[in-house]
Amino acid sequence: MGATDIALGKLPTEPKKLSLISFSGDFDKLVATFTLATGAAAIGYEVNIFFTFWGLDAIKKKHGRAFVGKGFLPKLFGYFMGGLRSSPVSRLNFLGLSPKIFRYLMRKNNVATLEELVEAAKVLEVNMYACEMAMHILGLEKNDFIHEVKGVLGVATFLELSEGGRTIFI
Amino acid sequence: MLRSWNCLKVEEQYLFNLFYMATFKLDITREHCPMTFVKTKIELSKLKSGDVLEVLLTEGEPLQNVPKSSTEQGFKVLEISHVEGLVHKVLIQK
Repeated sequence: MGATDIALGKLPTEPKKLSLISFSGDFDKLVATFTLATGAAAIGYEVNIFFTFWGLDAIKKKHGRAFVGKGFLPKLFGYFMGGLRSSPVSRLNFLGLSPKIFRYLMRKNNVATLEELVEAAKVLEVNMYACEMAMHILGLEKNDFIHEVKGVLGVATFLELSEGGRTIFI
Repeated sequence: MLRSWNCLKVEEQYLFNLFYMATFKLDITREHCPMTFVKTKIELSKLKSGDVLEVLLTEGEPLQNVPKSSTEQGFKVLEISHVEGLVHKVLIQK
């Protein structure tokens, strides 16, 4: 089947939905999360991302290291966890050098960087949600996140939102 | 207007669109997945109904998926033509 045949094909009738659970705050895994999210949103999927634990780093207002959180321990933890810009890679991090190398290689090879993917996700109106329980542990509030985060959810609401679509844990 | 529009042949409608609707251009020949269809979708969302987007893209995944996903989202693919080498041109109407 050629591209023209595909282009002139019938419209699909079934609703398309993709829900992602972003657990890891690792640079490479966040790239995977946002690549899937933006790609799916661009081809007409309804996309939900549920950020929990380390994944919450990706949606913090402060992109670098900052004392975010309520109380001494959460603040200290928040500092070491950092934000989107300080996310480490899951292997061979080399004290934070690898994410810089990755960003350089992505720009050099004209591949969207993590920051560009996040911006695209905002423009494509990907639904972003924060996990209520993880926020309590880390002393975070909704105001600590970017304003595109639509809400704070628990498991039951997330299951309700993701019903009828595919769910991926990253 | 609607009745007379429907009376036109497809070719005439196409020519009308070419002259009267604004045509915008987007070059995604240097982009990679998922930015090929992400940029197309973002560009299409900025256009008015009836406007045409001329997309330059390469063979393989972009040529296969950009027209397909555009059609699935209710846009009209008016033309797919070969430009040169691996580059193709797709005209999409909002």
